[in-house]
Amino acid sequence: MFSNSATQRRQFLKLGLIGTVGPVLLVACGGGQSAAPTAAPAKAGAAPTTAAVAPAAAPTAAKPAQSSSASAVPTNTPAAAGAQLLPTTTAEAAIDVSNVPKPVAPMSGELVLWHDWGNTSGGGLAMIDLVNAFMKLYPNVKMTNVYDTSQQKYLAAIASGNVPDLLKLNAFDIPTLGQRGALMALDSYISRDNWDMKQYFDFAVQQCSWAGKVVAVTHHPDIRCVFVDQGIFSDVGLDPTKAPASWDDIVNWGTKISTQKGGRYTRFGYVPAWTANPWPTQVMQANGATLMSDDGHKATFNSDASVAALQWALDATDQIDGGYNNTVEFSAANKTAQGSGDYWMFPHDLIGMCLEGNWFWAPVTIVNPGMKVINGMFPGGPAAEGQQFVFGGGTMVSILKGAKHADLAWEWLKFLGSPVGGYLVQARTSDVSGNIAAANDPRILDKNLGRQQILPLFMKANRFHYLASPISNQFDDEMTRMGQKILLKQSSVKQALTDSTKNVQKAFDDFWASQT
Amino acid sequence: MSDTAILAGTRRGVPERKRRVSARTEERLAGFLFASPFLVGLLLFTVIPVLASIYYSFCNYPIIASPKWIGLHNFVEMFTNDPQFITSIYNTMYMVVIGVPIGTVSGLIIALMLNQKVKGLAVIRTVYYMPSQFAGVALALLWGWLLNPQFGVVSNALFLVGIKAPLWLGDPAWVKPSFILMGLWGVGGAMIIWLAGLQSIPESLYEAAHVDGATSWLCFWKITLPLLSPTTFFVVTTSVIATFQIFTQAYVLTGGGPADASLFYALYLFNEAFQYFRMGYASAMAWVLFVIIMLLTLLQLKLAQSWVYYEAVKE
Repeated sequence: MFSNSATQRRQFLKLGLIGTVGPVLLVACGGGQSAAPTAAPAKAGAAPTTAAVAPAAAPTAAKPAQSSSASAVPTNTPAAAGAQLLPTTTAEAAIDVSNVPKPVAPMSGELVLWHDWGNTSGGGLAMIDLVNAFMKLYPNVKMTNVYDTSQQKYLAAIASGNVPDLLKLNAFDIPTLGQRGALMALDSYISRDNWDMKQYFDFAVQQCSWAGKVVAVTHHPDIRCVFVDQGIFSDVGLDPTKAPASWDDIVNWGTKISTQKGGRYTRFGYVPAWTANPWPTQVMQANGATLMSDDGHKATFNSDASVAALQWALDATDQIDGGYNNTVEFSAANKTAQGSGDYWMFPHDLIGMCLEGNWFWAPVTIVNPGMKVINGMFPGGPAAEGQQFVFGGGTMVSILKGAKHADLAWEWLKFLGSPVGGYLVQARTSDVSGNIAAANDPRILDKNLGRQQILPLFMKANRFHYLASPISNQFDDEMTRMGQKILLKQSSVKQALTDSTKNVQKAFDDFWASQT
Repeated sequence: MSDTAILAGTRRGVPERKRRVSARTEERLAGFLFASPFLVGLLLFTVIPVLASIYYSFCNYPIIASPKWIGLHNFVEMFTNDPQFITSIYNTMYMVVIGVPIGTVSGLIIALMLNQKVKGLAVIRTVYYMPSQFAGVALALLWGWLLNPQFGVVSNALFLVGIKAPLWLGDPAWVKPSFILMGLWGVGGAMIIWLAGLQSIPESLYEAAHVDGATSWLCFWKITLPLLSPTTFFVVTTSVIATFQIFTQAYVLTGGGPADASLFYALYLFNEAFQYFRMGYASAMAWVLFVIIMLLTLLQLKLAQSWVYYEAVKE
């Protein structure tokens, strides 16, 4: 009996071991998927797509549909009447369709759009509006809105050749996918339809282009600039009408603003590492450093300008914030009811200045609409004295190579990029349309706090927050790694720069070698 | 021919000698047919990808373009020119060498405590086992809160006894110990295995030992531990394999940071495949991981011969 029981136990353990080891080994060599989540990782520092920020207010005044709208759309569609074109849930108002682009392709067929914004808030609802409005304009078009796309999913689609017609992308995806030949060039459509690209912000068109060809139409561009809490400035005796004009201003003012109680910081003047994207990318450029050679094959950021910029960030962190650990502790201590990070801290008057995205107006609207804020360009460092910087990014929609309904997809892109599409992009969110006319739509300007003062900075965007290169993801990760090593003082600025340059150069070499 | 004869013929169908397949073959076919949903899935989603990954590991394969054969380049690069690879190996080995023993011993201690005859034992066992059933992203987020340096439960508990908590996930020196601490949450799974092992040890051995004057410690050392050796072997082997694949916590909470301190092997592999579009390199990494795990498992199997005691065999 005893022997039998022991034998069974031994068999159980052996079988269990085999049963566990077998699948695990299979997974280890790529056969299983359970180890990795299905959702794409949130790109570090990617701009929020406004999902959380949409002030619900509808436009205050409905603009009557213009009679000329009928001529802008085919007369064989009911939408030609124009007036109550869109679902009332969109904006509770009639939409002027006079600027809806005239279709060239036959307006019937099926379109598939993929994005990852969900279907319950901000950007996801805006996508639903765009899709519904397009189908209402052109009833013979059926559009499928796939809102839960992940990076793995679209990579698999591209690899298999069975692609959706339209894919929402982030700015740093454009060079990555563009250089790998996954995106359709739109230039022939643009010239065929004489499509005016000057209706968009310059930098939005630039980030929608790769290798001299337009490969996407902007959904919404975004910028990173200086935000100043005027109330704090007044409290500490600083001029609340002025944004910092130099890096010295940032350090001196920031030090004055930071406060402590019981040995712990209760307010920070400025935290160099708190940016929407890896901070070294921005601060190095703001001191005049270039990130790569013109041909995109060489890493060039290991320069004196970069050393000075990174050293400044380290010193500023020490002087203003008492060191990197304090910023981590402060961030952990100041999780607000709405969420965590400087995004939610700013409207709670916990930071005096920051280099952040235009979307920072959204939490101000929600938490502290009475807050006084001014925006400014980020000042140049000692090696770029007198210069000022605004860092651009954004999202866009591309037609993938191999799309089954490319002509029809282009018509949707035109709709997206039109003032009407641009209005829908903004109606439920705090996003700024890439279409300049739509961005200046009075209904949007009135609705969004701070829009009047931040919009001019969109015209001044002069750098990207990312490396416009096929290795942009590696570069971003490398900047994060380098930034942390510097702030944690694990290595000197020079050593960290040297190591990172080597890694980035290796990524360049690997990539370009694979292209030959 | 009578109706009965016709019916009988019909019922029997074709005479035995004319059947194309035997009943045994028919049975086999039916078996395969019933198993086919699993077999087809296994073939399509496991066997073929595994075989494909062998090929890709020798290729430059950017996912959205065709793979190009580059021979051993991926493997050579991994061991000679990739500091992140070495870092990820170090971080993962740290978890294996430090984390597995801690988890194993913790599971055993809890199992020993829950092997006592006390009131409400089933409930207590359930309470200890339940956390192991919560895993993945939710668990990672929960621990993110528990380890908050300012108002997390763990930090506050330390504060109450006069210890200033570290920054946990924000400190390169503490991020891996934090993950080990997190791992203890799931120790209930090992505890159940230990309990099963403990309960299979015959009571008579302890009684005999006590009659001979053995202390409790001696009983544990000379009876419990040796008879638990097959269980120990199982727990250690599976824990080592699982630890080599640690991913979710780091992916959700730290992204591999700060400064690569939590860049574990599986996370780095994932980044190479889906962030950097280097599926060939990631495939090579997967096979290296496979080889590491296989060698370690074989080593453990070999070593097990000298310390694992299967009483039935010995008798």
